[in-house]
Amino acid sequence: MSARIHDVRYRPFGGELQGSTPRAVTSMGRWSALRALGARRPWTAKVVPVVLALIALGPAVTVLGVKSLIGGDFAEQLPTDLVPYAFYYTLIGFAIWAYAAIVIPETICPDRRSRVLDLYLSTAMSPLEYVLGKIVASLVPLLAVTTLPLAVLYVGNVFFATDPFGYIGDNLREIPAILGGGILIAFVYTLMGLAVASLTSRRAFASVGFILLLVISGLGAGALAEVADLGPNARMVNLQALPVWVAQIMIGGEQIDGGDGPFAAANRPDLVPLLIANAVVIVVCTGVLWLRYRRRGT
Amino acid sequence: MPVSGPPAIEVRGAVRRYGPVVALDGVDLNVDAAATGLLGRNGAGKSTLMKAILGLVRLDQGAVRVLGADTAREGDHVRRRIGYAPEHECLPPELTAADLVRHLAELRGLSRADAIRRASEVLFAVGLEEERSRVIGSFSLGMRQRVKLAQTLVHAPELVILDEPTNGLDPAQRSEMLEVIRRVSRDLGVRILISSHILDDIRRTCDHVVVMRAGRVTLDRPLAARAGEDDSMLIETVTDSAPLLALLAGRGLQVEAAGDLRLRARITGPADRAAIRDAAAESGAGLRRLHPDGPSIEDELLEAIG
Repeated sequence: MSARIHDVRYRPFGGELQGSTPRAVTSMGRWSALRALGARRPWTAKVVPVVLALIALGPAVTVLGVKSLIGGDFAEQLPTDLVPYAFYYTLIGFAIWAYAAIVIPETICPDRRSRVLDLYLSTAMSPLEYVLGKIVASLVPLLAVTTLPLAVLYVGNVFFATDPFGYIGDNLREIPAILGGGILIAFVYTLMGLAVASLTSRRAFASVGFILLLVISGLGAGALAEVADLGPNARMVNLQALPVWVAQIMIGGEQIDGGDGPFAAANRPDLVPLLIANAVVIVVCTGVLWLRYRRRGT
Repeated sequence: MPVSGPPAIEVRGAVRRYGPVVALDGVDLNVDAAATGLLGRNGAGKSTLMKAILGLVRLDQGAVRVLGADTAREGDHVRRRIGYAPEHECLPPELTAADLVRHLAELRGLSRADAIRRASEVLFAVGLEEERSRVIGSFSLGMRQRVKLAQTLVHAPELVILDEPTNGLDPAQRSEMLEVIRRVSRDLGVRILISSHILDDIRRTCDHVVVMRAGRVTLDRPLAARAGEDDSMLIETVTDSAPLLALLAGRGLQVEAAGDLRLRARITGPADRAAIRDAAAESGAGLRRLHPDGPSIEDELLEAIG
């Protein structure tokens, strides 16, 4: 009688499967975000997101650097709002758009191109879990350019203030406004970016499509307001500025001057139409995502 | 490893139409063997049946239960308990095999630590241990098919469904893949349903076969010969078979003439085959051929495929 030992180094899994929507969403979000930011990919894939995040941080670092260099009494004399928080978006608007245009398609297009989407939806997760995971994967990195710079600026201002606690007390309402405004901008651009990217399997097409959407809507808004003389509220179709205008109002109030360019206060519609327009954008983008991912498939 | 638990798949009166085309036409089926082959030509309804089993298509009539659960009502639950490898290419080329399998393990509910361990185990089990850190884009087609198989196993499913797992493989890769699949069902105790249009793939990997044609099940049987099925043998001789007939009858075999050079004998075991061989040598009749009387399993399968 002889015996054989089969070493297949395989044991039936005795652990517990923790199948749940939050787990699937966070897992998909983490993997996709890391991939979009270049993790486990060549350095060339990491450069652009890092550079854009640094550009977004640039004004905050510059302001704080000036304060630290001047120091002492001169720093006391500098206005604490050297760069007002609400104005900050005017300085980094381009970086936010570019970041969204580059990072968001990276989270979603390769799945359709390689058809791994079929694998996800046929065994691992539901379409809703998939889309929620991709929203997390796009939104969290986007916060690095919409919330982090203002948060750094705020913390720096506290640090350099002669009376840090006094500064916090005087600027307490800015904390939820900075967080809420940044999240709103990231959320609206995330949905817009995902909706555009869901229409193609090519990252380049999705990036260009997102930028074109912003540019064309901005030009269209200008034409409606100026040429058709429909007034500032016609600029509700300006997708470049819709969430940013709301964030500026949240942070600085309706009197805040967004500077020249796309966020100029003179161009800004009233708050209620702005909120409605943002809500419409969210609903439309959600609808596009639902249409594109409602069916499981192989 | 023994296979236990509820029947893997029960299909009752499944009907699915795509416009005027009836993809499933009243399919009734029980799948519970360690490895079952779903055989049929392209367009026979195999893929639709697989999608119905996965709960990915809604049936017009009938019901499918997988591991005791109704796929129409508990689709998500069912899909998490089974592994599935689609026929088409579905692997991201920029990920390593280990990363992909680990990622899918986490999505299916394994903790991060378990996912890392299980990914390593299943990649070893399919013979990709050395290559697990290579990006999938650098893999051959055969290796990519193995990755697809590995990801089906990572969450320890009770049932694995493989759609045309040897599609596009060269003969050597195909042979290796079939061996791996056979090992999965035999050594790892995982029930497998394999769809294929290649008879040999099913014969080499499965214990049971279901043949589909035009949306219907035309054959549903074990692949091993049933008791009594192949016990009637036809003996063809080179010269007159009468002396051989006399010898065999004298040794107690049930034998009769079936023509000038042919005898029909009832075989009950290997000893009878040996007796025929010996009697043929003694009688000098010369054996030309000894084969089952009636259609072989291959004949039956080919007829069912149509």
